[in-house]
Amino acid sequence: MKKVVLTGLILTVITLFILSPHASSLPDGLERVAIRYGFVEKEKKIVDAPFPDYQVKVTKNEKVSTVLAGLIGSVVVFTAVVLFFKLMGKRDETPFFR
Amino acid sequence: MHIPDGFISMDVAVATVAASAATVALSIKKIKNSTSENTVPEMGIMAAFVFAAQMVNFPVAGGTSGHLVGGALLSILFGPFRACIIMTTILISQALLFADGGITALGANILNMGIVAPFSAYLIYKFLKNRKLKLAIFLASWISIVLSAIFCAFELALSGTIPLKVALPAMTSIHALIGIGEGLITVPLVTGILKYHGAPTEGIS
Repeated sequence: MKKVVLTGLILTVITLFILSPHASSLPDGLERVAIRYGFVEKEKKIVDAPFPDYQVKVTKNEKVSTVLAGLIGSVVVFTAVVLFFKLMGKRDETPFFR
Repeated sequence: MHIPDGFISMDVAVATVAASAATVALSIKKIKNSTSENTVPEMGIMAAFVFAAQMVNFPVAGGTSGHLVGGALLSILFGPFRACIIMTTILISQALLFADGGITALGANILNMGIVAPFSAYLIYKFLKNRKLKLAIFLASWISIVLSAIFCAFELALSGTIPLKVALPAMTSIHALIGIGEGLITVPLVTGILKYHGAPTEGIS
């Protein structure tokens, strides 16, 4: 268990701090199709998310902002998943004969 | 492949919410009291990793980028039902906090990336893993992306956004390329983790 958690942690830290600031800003597959076939302007915003486009408002430095937004998201996702599965109950691992 | 608000019709939104809600409910039922305590932090950290990796777009071809979806990775490691729940958590967080994927498109995005991706990947992986492990992981990853894109094309077409005969080849071809990236990332991650874990942590159920 510890090894997977440690590996995951290292992977997440590398991804957030080293890779995410250098992500390609080219349109993704769906956006590309939307641009090419002229329905990209159908996109509309109906709610105001706190960190649109993975940017936090505290800094103007786009790369720092991306890392901070990613950090927030990772912590939120980690916490939500752990809490949810804890709530779902663990497998009964008591040995049958005791 | 996150669909924003405005691309899909209300009918498609309602139908995909219903389909996703039913599948998530089934997944919850399946995983109740069935996860080893040790697996929970593993799932948490791998969920955080998948979230972070989804931010890292890599260029593919023709001025287009793609990113890891992670449905196959989570599914092979933790089983499709847990993967479905983890992906749903990630997709909800992305929509609510980062405006990545629309609120009205949440059902469709969960269906494509949180259900179609992990379940298709799991079937392919299960079928092929005993013959060629790396090929099984690669194909599972690739197919998870291509199939998600095909579902996305149908949702766009049913919404009247773009005709199916245009959407289907366009979405499939670009995601056939992006899917290669998914495979190239997922294979070393899974084989690396399997090496010291022996077997997928909670593979089946």
